Amino acid sequence: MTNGSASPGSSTPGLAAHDVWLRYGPKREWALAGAELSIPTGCLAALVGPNGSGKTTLFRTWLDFQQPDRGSVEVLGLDPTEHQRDVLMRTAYVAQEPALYGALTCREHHRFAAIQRDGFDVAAAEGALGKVAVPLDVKASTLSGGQRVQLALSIARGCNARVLLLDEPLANLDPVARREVVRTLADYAHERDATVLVSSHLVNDLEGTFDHLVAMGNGRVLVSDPIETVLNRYVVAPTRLDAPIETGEMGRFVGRDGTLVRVLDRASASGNQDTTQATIEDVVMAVLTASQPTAAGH
Amino acid sequence: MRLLEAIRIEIKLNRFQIATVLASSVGIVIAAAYFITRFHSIQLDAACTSVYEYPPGLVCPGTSMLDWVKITQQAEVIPPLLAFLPWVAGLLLGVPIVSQEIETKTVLLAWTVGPSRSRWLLRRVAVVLPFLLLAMTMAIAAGIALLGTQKPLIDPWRTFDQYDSHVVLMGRAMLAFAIGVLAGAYLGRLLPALIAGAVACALAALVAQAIFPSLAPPVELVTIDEPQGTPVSLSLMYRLDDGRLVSWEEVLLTAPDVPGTKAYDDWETALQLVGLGYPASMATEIAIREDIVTVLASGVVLLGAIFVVRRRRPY
Repeated sequence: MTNGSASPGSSTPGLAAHDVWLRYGPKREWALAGAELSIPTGCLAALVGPNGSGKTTLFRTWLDFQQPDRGSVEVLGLDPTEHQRDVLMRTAYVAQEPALYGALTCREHHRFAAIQRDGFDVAAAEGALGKVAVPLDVKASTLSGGQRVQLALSIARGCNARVLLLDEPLANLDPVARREVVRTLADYAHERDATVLVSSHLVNDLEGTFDHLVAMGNGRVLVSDPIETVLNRYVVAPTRLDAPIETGEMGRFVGRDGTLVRVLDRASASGNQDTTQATIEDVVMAVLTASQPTAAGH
Repeated sequence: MRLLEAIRIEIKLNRFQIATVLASSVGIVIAAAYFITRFHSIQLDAACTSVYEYPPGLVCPGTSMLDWVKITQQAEVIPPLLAFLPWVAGLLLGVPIVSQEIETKTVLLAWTVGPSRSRWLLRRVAVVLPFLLLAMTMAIAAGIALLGTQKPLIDPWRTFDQYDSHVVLMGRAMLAFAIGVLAGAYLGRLLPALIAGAVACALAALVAQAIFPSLAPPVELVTIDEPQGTPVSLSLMYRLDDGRLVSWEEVLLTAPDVPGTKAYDDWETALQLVGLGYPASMATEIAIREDIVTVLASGVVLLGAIFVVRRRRPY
C-alpha cells in the first residue's frame, strides 16, 4: 500500500490486486480466491472469464464498493478504502447495466456529472456522444441499449480519469460501434497514459487493439499478461476427448471447424509437432471452458 | 448558473415526490379557504362564538348559529390532516432520496462520477428540503387562518387549540424527512424504508409527547377562559398555608389527621388547588421550543444518514 499515485510514465501499475480473497458471506463461496494481477498504465486491457468468475467483484473492490477479506487492491498505487476520494477522482466506471436517470436527457446527464465532479469535461463528453450520433436532448429512458452504453461511455470520457473501469460495455453495441469504441478507448489509454480495463465476453474484438489480457476463472486470475506475451506463450493442438490432461494444458474446446483442440503452454508442447500459433480467441476459449464455475469454488 | 442547473436537475429527479407534497399542502389550503369563506358568509357576530358568556343585548340568529356549528363540525377534518401532514410529507420526500437511487442502480453513477457521497446527499437534501418547508408554511398558514376565522375571539398564535397544526409542523416535518433519508439509506429499498420510517416517526411522536412538559418550566395557570385562549395543564398541585406547592402524595404526608375525620376534611377543603402548565400566551414560544428540539434531532439523524451513505454498498 502506497500513498502516492502513479504519474505518467511511472512504473506504478494502474490497477493491481494482491492475493485478494473475498466472499459475500461466511457461508458463501469465494467470489475472489487469491486474485493477483497488475495492469500497467498506458494500456487497454481486456478482462475475460465466464459468468461468476469474479470480474464484477474485482471492479467493486477497486471502487471500494466491497473490501477484500484478505489481500489488497490498488488504483494507481492508492488503496481505494484509505483514499476513496482520490481514487474516485482518478477513476471512471461504467456499470454492466448502464446506470442512467431515465428522466434526464443526455445533456442533463453531462451537466449532472459536471455538478458532481470538479473538472468534468462537458465538451469532451458531448463531443464523444456527437461522434456516435446520439442526440443530446433525448431522455435516457428513450435511448436504445447501444445508445445507453454510448451515453455512459461519454460520461466516463468526460471524467478525464486515469483509470477507466468498464464492465461489459460492448455487449449491447453493434459490430461497427464496438470496433469504434474499442479504438477510441485504445487511443484514450495511449494518449493519456491511462489504464482502461474492459470486461467482455466478445473475444473476437480483443486481438489487434487490446494491449493486455486478464483471464479469470473461479475467482482466480489465470492469465494477466500483455497480449504479445500471451500469443507467444500458447499454442493450439488437436486432441481427442479421451486424451489425458497434460501438464501445461490450459483447457480444451471445440474449435470452429468442429474438432476438439487444446491450448498448451508452448514450453510443455515442445515435443508436439502438430501445433499451431494460438490466437487470443483460442486462449480465452480455453480459459472459459476450463473454468466454468464449479460448486467447489475454492 | 451551475447552481441553478444543479437545482433544476435535482428537482427533476424528485419531481413526483415534490409535486405530491405540494399538492397535499395546496389541497389543505383550498379546503381551509373553503371553510373560511363559509364562516364569513354567515356573518355571525364574533361574540356569538364565545362558549362562555354573551354580552348583554347581543343577538345571535339561530340559523346562523346552527350554520356556525355545522361548519365548525365539518372543518374538524382539517386539524387531523394538518397533524399527519408533516410526518407523511417528510417521509415521502426523505425516503426516496437514497433508496430509490439504490433500487434503480443510478447510485452507481452518482457515487462514482463524483468523489464525495456526502456532498451528493447534502446537495440533494438542500434542494428538496425547502419544498417541504414551503409545504409546511402553507399548511401552517391555512391552519392559523382557519382557527382565527372559526374562533375570532382567540388569537390563534396564543392558544393551544390545535397545537398540532401550529409551527410545530415545521420541525416535525424535518424530523420525518431526516428519518426517511436514514431509513432509505440504511435499507436501500423504497417500500421497506417507508414502513420502517413510519414506525420510527410514530416513536418520535411519542418521544415528542413525552418531552413536551420539559420544553419550558410550567407556570401557575390563572384562567382557562376565552378570549385568552386555551392553556395546557400539565399537573395539579396544592398550595399549603406557607405558600409551598406540593403534590397529593406530599399532601397526605402533611395531613393533620387521618382521612375521614372532620379535622382532616376541614383542612383538605381549605387547601388551594393550583394548575401548573403552559398558559395560552406561551403557545408560540412552546411550539418554537419544540421546533428547536426536533430540528436538532433532525440534524443528528441526517448525520447518521450521511454516515450510512458513506459506508454502505450501492447495491
